[in-house]
Amino acid sequence: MDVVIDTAVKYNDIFMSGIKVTIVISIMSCFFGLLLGTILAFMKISGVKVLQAIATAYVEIIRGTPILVQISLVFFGLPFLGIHFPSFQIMGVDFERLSAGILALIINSGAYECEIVRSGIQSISKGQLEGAMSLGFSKWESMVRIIIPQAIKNILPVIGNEFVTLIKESSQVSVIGMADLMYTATTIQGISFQPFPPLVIVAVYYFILTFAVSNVLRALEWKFKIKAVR
Amino acid sequence: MSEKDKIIYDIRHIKKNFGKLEVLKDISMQIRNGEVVTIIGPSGSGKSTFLRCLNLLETPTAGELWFEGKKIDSGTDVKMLRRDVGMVFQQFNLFPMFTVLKNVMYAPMHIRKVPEAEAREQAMTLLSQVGMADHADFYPEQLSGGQQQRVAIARALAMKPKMLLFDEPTSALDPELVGDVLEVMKQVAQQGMTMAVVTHEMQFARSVADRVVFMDKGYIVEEGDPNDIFTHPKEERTQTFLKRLLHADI
Repeated sequence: MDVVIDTAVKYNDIFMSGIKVTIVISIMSCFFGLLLGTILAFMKISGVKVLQAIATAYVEIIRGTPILVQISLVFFGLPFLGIHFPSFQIMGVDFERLSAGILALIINSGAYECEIVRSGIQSISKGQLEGAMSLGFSKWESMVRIIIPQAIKNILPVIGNEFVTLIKESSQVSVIGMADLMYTATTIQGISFQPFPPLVIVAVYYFILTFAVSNVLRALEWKFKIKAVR
Repeated sequence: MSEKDKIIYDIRHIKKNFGKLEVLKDISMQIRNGEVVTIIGPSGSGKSTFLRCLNLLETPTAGELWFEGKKIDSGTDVKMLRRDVGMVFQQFNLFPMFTVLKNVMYAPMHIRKVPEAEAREQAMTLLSQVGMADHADFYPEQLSGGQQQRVAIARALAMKPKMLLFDEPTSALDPELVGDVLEVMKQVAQQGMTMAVVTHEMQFARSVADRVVFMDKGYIVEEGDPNDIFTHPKEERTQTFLKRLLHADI
């Protein structure tokens, strides 16, 4: 136990920078994943066959392959396709690795968030759309004014869960050498010649992160409910 | 020709297919200004589909629709048509996140760009007309079905439509709530609104309607003065339908 605490104190700076990176990549991939997912969801419910097929294929492929494979494919695949991110240091991380890691996570969570958004929109009864359109709103206006606000209420808690999942899944970007929280464990294992304590510390930090986020979300959800969004 | 007799909606030989299923086979009908037409018939006869064609929630597969002397085609602004032809639904379809008042104000404010104060005043007038003014600050889920439907009627009226469609407006209601809604509809009819009402309420069809249309299997079987239809229907199918219904009443 002592050795764990000693390690945690001694390498605190490294752990903290790892936490920072983990939080940043989780937030960014959740946010942009939601954007991508929303676009995909609208493609799926657009009624345009080509768009539906593209979105469906995307979601199925991404959900049917391991995230670790996707991360490696993005990191090694982009340069192979002639796409290079500039290489400089940001938050102590190589920007090239950072952007590849985040991009892979966006690609991945976009597929999951697509399904969340789609089911959220489709959970609103068709009568709401018809009610709005019968008054003279266009289909688009009806979606934006009437359907989406109701859908968001259903979607938000699920997006919160997706964010918690992303905090954990983002640990896999460490395989491409991105200095997130998981990666710091490897680093410190190397410096301290201690294989075990850094992993325990990292596990504890991940738990604190997810536990804190879950509770904040639960509190928000509760407040949201009381605020009478009926 | 007086304003009253002017044809507002001229429906010519419309058909509607859902895939291979022919729901409407050949429907022609004229609706005059200020007229109240009720459409009755067994379930599956296509009456709701027909009504939904009139504000283009369904697009007819064939045939022509002429509203106020203008043919509806691909160049017609469907939104504009729907402003003129309002609808009241079986399931009310009020917006659950808005109060009763906002439900009624919302479309006039955002579509007709009526200033808020004016929209509010107009909404309150309509709500008192349907007996719901004291519930203006309630949310739909706090109301009974009958109350929600009265609000829905006020919401449709708020757009100042030239005509209103009612799609089985009392079918989702508990029996004791039906009367209030029918009373409001009667009032609206008396104010001269043109109405097309799909309903199972024969008493309403009989007492309020200017004309009753009996539909079966995608066709109009018979239409005419309510008293004629109900007392001595000409067609056998109408007779059978009415007999069954009147027996069910007892």
